[in-house]
Amino acid sequence: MTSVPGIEKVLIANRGEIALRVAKALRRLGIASAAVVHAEDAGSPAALAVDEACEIEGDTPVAAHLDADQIIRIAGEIGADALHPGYGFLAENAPFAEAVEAAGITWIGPTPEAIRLMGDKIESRKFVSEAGYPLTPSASEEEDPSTFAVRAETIGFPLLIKASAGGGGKGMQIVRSASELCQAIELARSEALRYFADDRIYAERYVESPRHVEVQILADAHGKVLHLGERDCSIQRRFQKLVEETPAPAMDDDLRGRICAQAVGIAEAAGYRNAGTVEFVLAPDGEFYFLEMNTRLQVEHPVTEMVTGIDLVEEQIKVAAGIPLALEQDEIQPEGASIECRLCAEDPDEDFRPAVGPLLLVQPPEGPGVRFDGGISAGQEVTTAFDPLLAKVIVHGRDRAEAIERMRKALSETVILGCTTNAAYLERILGHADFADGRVETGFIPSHEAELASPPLSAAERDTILAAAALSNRDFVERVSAVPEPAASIGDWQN
Amino acid sequence: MGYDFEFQGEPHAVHPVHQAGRGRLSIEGRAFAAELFPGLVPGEHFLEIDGRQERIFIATQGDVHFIHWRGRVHRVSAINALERARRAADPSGGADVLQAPMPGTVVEVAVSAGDAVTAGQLLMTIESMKLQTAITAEADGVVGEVCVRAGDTFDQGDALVRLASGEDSDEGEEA
Repeated sequence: MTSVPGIEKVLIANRGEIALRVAKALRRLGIASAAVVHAEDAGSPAALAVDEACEIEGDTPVAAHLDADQIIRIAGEIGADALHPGYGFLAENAPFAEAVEAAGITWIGPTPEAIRLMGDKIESRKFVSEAGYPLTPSASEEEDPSTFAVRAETIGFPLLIKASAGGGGKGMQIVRSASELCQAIELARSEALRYFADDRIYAERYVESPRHVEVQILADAHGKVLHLGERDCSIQRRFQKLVEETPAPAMDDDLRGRICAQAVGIAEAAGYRNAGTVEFVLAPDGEFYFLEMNTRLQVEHPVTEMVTGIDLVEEQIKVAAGIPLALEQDEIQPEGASIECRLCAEDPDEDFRPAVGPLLLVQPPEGPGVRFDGGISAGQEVTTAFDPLLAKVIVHGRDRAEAIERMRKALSETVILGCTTNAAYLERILGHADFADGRVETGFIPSHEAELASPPLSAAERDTILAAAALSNRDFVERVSAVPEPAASIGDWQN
Repeated sequence: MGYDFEFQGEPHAVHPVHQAGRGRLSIEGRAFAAELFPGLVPGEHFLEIDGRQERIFIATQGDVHFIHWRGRVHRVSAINALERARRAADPSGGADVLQAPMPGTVVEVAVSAGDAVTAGQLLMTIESMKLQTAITAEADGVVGEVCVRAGDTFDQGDALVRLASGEDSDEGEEA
């Protein structure tokens, strides 16, 4: 029977690894699970793991997952009493959260007001600044469009032009001199309009060689706000996180304490409840600035779970049901170190272009301290219909060095054949001396581009690969047995 | 010429060599003692080559072999007799068709069939994930066919634009 009063059945409004991960938490809690599934994902591990798979339709698979009305109708039809949005899609859509609650279904997430406040980059910065926390110097176009360029210039270069409604690096422009400014503003505005249907933009100081540090927040409906420590997510490519870890390397306890306290302060000021993440830019001089708050479960939440032993999805569900958090801040004592790597369908040897193809073989890594959050299985076809994230490899070690070693081994033992992935590239990042030394910053990937490229194969390696291919080729093997002795003695054989 | 396998863009001659009692093959003229044994888990194999044993995962689809070895994945294609004949007959391989360099979506089409275009001219803008890429004409010519429309999705290698060849390209230069 369910261990969460009032929640008997949850509809998961997501797909892939996160849908599977939520389904597993529901099973542990004894709650019935259902998920919306597009035909493209029929037979996927998430679709098979839930008690009920409900087909959704749309012009595109993504459109189906963004169809709020259809999803709420399904929730009603199947009698779900709560909905988990996962991340992405409708997870940070305040009108959707409101509509879910208006339909009498519990929204497993923060209040629509908190989503709305933190979802707007300008409003959230204003809020955080008024609450007394530092921000990078910035200028918003809305205040006075006619003077925007001038005000942006006075911030000083380099600066960043961003979409107010944005996220995930979309529509972001780095400007290094006044001569680039006008063009960058135009470009950012058109991208903002295209991605977010909202052309408001703002400019802010771009911190050179910054680190991305974020704090996991867990808050209940009774005013208790806890932090579950920080994560360093500095290893990014084009503003997309690739490697995340906790604790943040090369950070002293004083700085760690101040960042976590500030995150709790911001969440408290916002009256936040459920799981959320406060993101900061950490400058090389140790100064840190509020970046944004993500009002949902993060992709990288497992590293926090590995060191704290707390299941964030279970906590999310309990909080949504109104159960007070049983934990106290001083009971949360992270142990060891954890790293996550995002396995994506992309080809690092071809400028990271998205890769597609059938998954012919999927062999997850195993071993002590290894966790594989995947939503893929052999027989599935990887297409460009969805995000390229295939799975996450997560490890836990007694210390960072052990975690790195375990991750390198896990990545090299992760076998995904048929669709190119970035597994070997991730292994090279983990194997880099600067990573081992904790010298991480958001420019890590561009500044180590050459060392991270695939090393060329030796002639002996090439021969080994060709031999394996030839000996697994049916035609070739048949010819081996068909070669007559006299021809073989010549040493070469022609068709 | 023998049996070719394409790897990293290059054809490699790999020949079966029969010898009683053990598997042998020659790669680019060098002989190897090599045998492949299936392992216990799906895709797992053990390759014995010149006295070494290597644990390798292999998956095959048609003529393409995916080889996972020492943490890296390699794609090796067997070039069958038909493909060899096709390559011999048409070494250029259809250069007047602009193919999608990666899977993605068409953002905007800038030309129509019959338009004269010059080398470097924007034909269309495509998007893969967050990356926009301009597809430009590689040479002067006339657009024969635009194979996609704005909003269409396509896979790597799909035809995007066909350029008409021959005397049409002269008109392109005048335009």
